[in-house]
Amino acid sequence: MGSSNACGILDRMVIDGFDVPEGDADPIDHIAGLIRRVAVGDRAAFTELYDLMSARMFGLIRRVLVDRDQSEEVLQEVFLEAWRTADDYDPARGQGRSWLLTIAHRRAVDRVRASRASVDRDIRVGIRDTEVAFDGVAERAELTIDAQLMTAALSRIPEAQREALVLAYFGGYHQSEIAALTGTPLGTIKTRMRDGLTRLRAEMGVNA
Amino acid sequence: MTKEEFSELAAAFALGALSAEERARFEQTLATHPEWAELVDADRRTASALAASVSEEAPRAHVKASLMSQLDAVIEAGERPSALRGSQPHPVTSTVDRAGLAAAPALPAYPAQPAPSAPQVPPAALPDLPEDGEDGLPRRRRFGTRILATLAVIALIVGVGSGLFSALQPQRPAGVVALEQIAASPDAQSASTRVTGGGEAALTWSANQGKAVLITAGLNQAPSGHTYELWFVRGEEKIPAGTFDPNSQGEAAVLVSGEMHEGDVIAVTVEVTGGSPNGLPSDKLVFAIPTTPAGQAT
Repeated sequence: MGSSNACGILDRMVIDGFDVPEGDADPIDHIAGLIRRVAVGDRAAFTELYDLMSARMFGLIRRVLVDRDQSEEVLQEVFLEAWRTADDYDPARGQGRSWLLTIAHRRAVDRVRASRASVDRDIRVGIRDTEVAFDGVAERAELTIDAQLMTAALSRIPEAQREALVLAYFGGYHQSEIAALTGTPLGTIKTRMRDGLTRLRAEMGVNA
Repeated sequence: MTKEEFSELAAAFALGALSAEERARFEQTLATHPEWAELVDADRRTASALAASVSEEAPRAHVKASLMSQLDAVIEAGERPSALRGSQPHPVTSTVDRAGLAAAPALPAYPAQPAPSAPQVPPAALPDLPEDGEDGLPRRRRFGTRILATLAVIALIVGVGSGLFSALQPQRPAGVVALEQIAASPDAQSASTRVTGGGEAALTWSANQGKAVLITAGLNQAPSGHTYELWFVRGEEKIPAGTFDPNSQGEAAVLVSGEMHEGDVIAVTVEVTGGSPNGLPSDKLVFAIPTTPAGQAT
């Protein structure tokens, strides 16, 4: 883990299904290997993928959706989508876990938007929930190393940028909704998300 | 679009902060600028790393059991993983049911998701279609605004691949291609209906070409574990014509699979995922649109 750039947090998130061999060889992405087996209809690989990744994915879905029953439904949808589309996964473009988390996030956001629309939920309640949820996580003691590193990285970026990132990623709000929620021009929100993401990437790398 | 503008959109895209329309425009731009793809990938990796700040939480045990039985149903229905579906190109992240219905990909460019509530379907059995007048039955009228909006979105999406990992693989949904072909036919006709329980549906067809395309907007998602199935109702015969799932806006553009005959009624029912197991429609009719011959409109 000596070289400075190669060991950013993105590379260090090796807990789920990664081996980090001795020396400088690339870590073996077991999740990616499982996804490739799923692509050819390997049911055992699918089961293993669930065992390795469901808690991580469910944690994310639950953060976005909150409701446990709905989150469990979405988790099942995500795995069924992974079964159907495993062949589309391209290891050159990202780790296997990142691919799965992307599907999980998109489905959770789609679901939270649909239920928001259907219950006409007060958007201002939503923003409060999101803030509470973020703070709540930061205070928990049993966070994994990954979570601590990520939370630390998040805490080092400017508050306005962090707010935009958290409202979008965990709150499931559109950029125009975030502009309305925070009383900020849309252009500013776009810039904050762009700068926030870039800054976050840098913080994660520096941290390692 | 300048690279700066694109870069701002890429961050919002990775964070899931674009609306459906913005997402479509973004993907269209990406398709014409493959050199910017790495930027998108990098942002997505960073965004998904945000998930690490969330504690893991194990789902309850019954979730896995239920998932595995759903998987068995999917496998039994012949829905195989993408690698086994042959070499023809396919819409990559479309969640259109792929139970071998290659001819019926729908429009949704993004994963559709079941709405929390099930659609309310009238308990009408197919053979007992009322003649006219009731909700859920077709009226000859101009397309509603939602259908028009959907058509506008189709115009945006045409030629654009979909999804996070497939934005570089342009893909024209078969429904869109067929719609263009039908529109070019001199005998093209359309009819639309409001759907009981929400949304609108419009059918465009050409009897000469034997083709029909169904477009929906604002349609509820089928209940979990279910899908919408199309049928040609031809006298006493009910011929399965493919399944579809609308996107999260309830939009779909589906080529009705099979040869359409003049006078067919195109019906849509709710069936278990993969389509009716016995090849017969359930009694959960959602709506039906007749294809009356030109000049005999009611």
